[in-house]
Amino acid sequence: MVTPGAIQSLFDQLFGERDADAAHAARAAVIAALLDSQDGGDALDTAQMAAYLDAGLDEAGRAAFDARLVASAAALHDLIGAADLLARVEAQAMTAPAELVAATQAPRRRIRAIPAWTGTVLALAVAAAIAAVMVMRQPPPPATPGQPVTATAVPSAPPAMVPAASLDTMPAPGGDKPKLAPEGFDAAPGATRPGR
Amino acid sequence: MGIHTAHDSHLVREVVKADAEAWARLARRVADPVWTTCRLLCDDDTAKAAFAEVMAALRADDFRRLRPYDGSSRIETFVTLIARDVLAERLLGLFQSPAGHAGWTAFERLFGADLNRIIARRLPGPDREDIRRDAYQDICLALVADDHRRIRAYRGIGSFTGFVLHTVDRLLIDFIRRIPAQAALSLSDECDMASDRPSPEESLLDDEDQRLLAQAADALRRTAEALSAPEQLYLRIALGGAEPLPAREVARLMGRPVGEIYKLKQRVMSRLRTTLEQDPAVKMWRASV
Repeated sequence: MVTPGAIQSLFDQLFGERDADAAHAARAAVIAALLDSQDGGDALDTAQMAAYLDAGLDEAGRAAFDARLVASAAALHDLIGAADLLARVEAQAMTAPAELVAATQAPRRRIRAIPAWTGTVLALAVAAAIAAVMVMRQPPPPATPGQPVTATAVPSAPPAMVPAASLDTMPAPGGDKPKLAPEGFDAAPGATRPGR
Repeated sequence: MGIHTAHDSHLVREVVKADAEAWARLARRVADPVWTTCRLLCDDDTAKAAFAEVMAALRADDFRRLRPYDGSSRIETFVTLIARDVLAERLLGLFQSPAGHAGWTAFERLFGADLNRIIARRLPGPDREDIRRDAYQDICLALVADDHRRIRAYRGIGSFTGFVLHTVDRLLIDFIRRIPAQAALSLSDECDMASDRPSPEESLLDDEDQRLLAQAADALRRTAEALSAPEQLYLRIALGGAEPLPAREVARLMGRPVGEIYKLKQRVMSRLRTTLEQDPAVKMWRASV
């Protein structure tokens, strides 16, 4: 974007004239918009911008980048801002705190991103499970008239294995009275009374 | 290419293969420029968090941000620019959140130096300190107005940083347009100190000045369009302020040796002089100043 002061300065250089009016540079009537590029908001690639500023592009790449900067005032501002920051970083270099660096150097647990299709698969699995439950919980066929609604015991052979806690397997209670366990140190095997 | 980046390029290739040891070496290598960037662009109490965020961004998505590095630049340059992008995205997030006002302090910290640089380019000179301060305030007020409407107007097209700096420059141009009398007052001892408004005659002259200047600028634009891309870029950078930028500075911005910039300048000036010297609009404007 070009200001009248800049234009005057240019013409001063072109024609060897001296700036006749010092105030001219700061006056209004800035016609910068006239010379401003039609800005499409070009987003400069960071790697390319770094290469451009470090003189790492070949001739063709540099010319192409020049053209993008000419076409977009915002892109040119972006580049100039980047160059300014790089100069400041170099001039005011600071050492990163050791603990911060150590924290970033630590191996990271690799957390894989959950693929987008996982949700679909999960939904299908849940739907299948619900369907299976519904099938297995089919209501019994309606009872025919005359039949009892509740099931009746059907006489059958006794089970081969009796329950572990049935009266058949539990020993009959003995005739002796239950004895209380002795208390005190004398009763505990190997125990000694304190102080002995 | 005067830079040696083969080692860095190899290191980054190892890092993107998920080599933990390579990452540890790279982290050590870039930690200082990243930290310096965070300290320069963030408040003291947020710099540590910002540093962690930038380093995490370098590792995110299987080192997506690092993958484009091909050794065409120094790794420090590349990573510093990534850090700048990450911090700008972070700032944008603050403005897009419901508590957008919290972003203003961060905004000033991130872009304050850019604002001052742009203002100083347009309004140079030790005698314009007051105007520069006014311009800074004026731009900030415009950016804060209507709940940061101008900042929120960013729609993701182009870089956020470029968008902000371009907006700042346009606001500055508007500011300069509004203050002809004050600017003249601060620059000329001969001005009438009793009034800071131009008289009707002065306004008329200003309008005439503007008309002639617009015609001269139009001639300049037509001539510039016939130049090559590097020549046009030189013109834009050299004319990006009220005073021409030194060749060394242009060379830094254009990534070229100073000698090449001198040649570029000679070529551009020669072509402009030849074309514009006889242009009627330019002649009239020159006669008016």
